[in-house]
Amino acid sequence: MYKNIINFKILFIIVYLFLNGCASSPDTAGKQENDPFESINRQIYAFNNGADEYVIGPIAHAYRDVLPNPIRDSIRNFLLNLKTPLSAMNATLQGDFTRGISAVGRFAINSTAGVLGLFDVANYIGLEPVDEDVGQTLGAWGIEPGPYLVLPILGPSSTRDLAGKVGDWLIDPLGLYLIREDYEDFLLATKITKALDTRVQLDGVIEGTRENSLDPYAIMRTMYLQRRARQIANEESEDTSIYDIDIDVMLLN
Amino acid sequence: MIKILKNIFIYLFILFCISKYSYAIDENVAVKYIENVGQQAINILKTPIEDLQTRELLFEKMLNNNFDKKLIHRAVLGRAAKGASEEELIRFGKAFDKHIIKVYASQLGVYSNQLFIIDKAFKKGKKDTIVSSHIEHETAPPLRIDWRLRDRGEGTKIIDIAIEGVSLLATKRADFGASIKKGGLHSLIIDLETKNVENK
Repeated sequence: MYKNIINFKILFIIVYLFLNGCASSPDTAGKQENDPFESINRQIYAFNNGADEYVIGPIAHAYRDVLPNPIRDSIRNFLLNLKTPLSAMNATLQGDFTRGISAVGRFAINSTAGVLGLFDVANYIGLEPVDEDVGQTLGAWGIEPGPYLVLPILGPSSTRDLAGKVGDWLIDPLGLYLIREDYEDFLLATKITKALDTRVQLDGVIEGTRENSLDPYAIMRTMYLQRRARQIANEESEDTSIYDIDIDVMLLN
Repeated sequence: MIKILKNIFIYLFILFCISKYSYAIDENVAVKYIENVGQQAINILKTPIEDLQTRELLFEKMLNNNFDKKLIHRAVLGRAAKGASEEELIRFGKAFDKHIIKVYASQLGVYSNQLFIIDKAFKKGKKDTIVSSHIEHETAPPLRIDWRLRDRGEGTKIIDIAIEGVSLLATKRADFGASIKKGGLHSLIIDLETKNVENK
């Protein structure tokens, strides 16, 4: 028993050092990005870019063109509702009890009055969407992003957010329930639909970056890191990461 | 030792020169300023997407009147601006402005009853004021836009915009990094000018 506790502590220290130790930059933009695996990241980015241009992008465009806006909105609401229990847990773990309770309320209202989440009724009565994950929770606990990573097909990430994805999978109550009840196919279908919907929402950014930037990889990297930093700081916070950018230092470095 | 002290002195002197005329703008003034800029942006959205020339002209006017272009150019270049000739900086400025105009005039989309709403303004440090706003649309989630304003003695100007938390300055700086690393400012100017020709 005593040995197990020591092993667990060692494991915790190793994971903590892995997430924090490699990080040379804080969770802010405009500073030198922490990208020690840039060479391999760029190769995976090139592969993902090809896959997006010829496979994922066209499928996402078909999804956008075939389904009318209201139906896509309902699908988005439904998927967000499925994620809400996980968001509620993460908001609570971050110490944000107001948003945690708000998420529980949203889930209860939208799952019933909102017809399994197809309609965001809760938003009309002032309960705004809550979208939190384990990566954000780790960030809120002060763990820095660590080295930037590009994952095959999944795209931009970081060591912290990769650990967060594993954490999401391990603690998502609805996901675990669906697996236990042998609804893995349904779970997989929701993940694929979510990915397509996200691709549709990011269409302008992805196509614009591909067309106009000198270095699309670098743009995607900085956008991802800035966006995640903002999500961790939460939208309403004035203490947001991008305004930690010291423009006067940028002028000199 | 003397050399180190000399470098420290030069660094402090440059910081002093940069900060000398900067001060945070009053929040109410900042809100009014961004309301005006928002109106200009809506006018661009209302211009048909096919009339790209008018869109670009309107965008150029907005950029020239409301943005601190000199500061933006320097911040995007960072260290690469050091030792550059005035001629190179001017050439970069022209290429950069054209690049920004080309990208945003065509990508701003069209007007379809979007609402531009200012949420709040607050001071950030001694020099800057941030105005938070968002665009509401019937069929899309709200789009958050934050404006960073500074007065360097030439009136209120925008020095950065963040859309959904993504800073324009930081993004363009990242975009240009590889080109600068490859061959300095000269290489970046050539790459930008080539890109501008391709996007015509």
